[in-house]
Amino acid sequence: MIKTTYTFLFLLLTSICFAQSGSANASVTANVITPITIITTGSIDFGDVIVMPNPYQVSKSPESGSRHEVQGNPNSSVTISFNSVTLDNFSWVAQHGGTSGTMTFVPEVKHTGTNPNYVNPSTVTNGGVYQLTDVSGIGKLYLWVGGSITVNANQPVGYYTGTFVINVSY
Amino acid sequence: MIIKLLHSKYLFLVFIYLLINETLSAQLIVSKLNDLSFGTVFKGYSSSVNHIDINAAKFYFNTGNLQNVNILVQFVLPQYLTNNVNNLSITFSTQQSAWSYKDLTTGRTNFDPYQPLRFNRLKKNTRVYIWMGATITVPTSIGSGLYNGTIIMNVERI
Repeated sequence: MIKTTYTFLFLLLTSICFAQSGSANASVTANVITPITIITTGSIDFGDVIVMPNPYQVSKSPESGSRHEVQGNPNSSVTISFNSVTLDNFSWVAQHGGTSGTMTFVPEVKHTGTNPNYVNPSTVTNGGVYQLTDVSGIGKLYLWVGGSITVNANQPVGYYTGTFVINVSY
Repeated sequence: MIIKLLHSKYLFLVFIYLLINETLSAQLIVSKLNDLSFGTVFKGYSSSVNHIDINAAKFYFNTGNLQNVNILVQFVLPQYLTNNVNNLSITFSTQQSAWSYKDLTTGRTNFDPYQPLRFNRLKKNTRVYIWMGATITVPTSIGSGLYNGTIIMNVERI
């Protein structure tokens, strides 16, 4: 009996002494999302604008402006930001001569959710957060951009251009 | 006679207790200090985490009271991260894996994480830190979501 006990204790101790090991686990994670792409159709062209004796405003509705199809991660929120743009006739004056001038384009942005047609538009505010709705695994949002310019009484003639930038980010 | 026998049995038990206690206190200490995180990764892009990156996996072991001990470290590395629907391949490399006796970004030694890492004749209370980064390339066809995997570090006295 005593012999058995000693043998057991011996085996226990040797197993403890020599089975010294340990392990640790680390998790590995990656959050995969779809990058944002924007497909633009149309442009914001005010056409010919006549200089009048008094200043006046020319507007273009978002429906007849440019459409921006935003694609990204389904059901993710995005922040949309944009600003007014200064249009100028500098290139035109450099080519044809005349007086340089500027005008400010004030954008008006709407969205129609996942509808590619201009139906039930909602106002998009600068810095607002909107959701990309899942359409067959793709998050979508349609943006429409119009706006207005003010033509001053002494507005120099020429071809006015500028670049309107709309930022969409997660 | 009976008292003498009981006394010797008592001493024997105390001896066994002390021996086991000493043996157990000499055990290796193995722990994970940080998980490996790629954060947000766009489809169609690659993402790499280097061993000096704060998002690299970080392990630690201590030899405790073991003197002049030889240690073998082996890793079980995931081939894929998964979201239970899609798999995303992950690769580890020597350049992204390193160890050091000090918890510093400098003075680290690179090692091949797919091969056993051996430490010879480590002294008592030797601390070893191990960092691991990796690389993933996300196909455009893969589903969105959180992908997971596990790195297992086995530390063994040899």
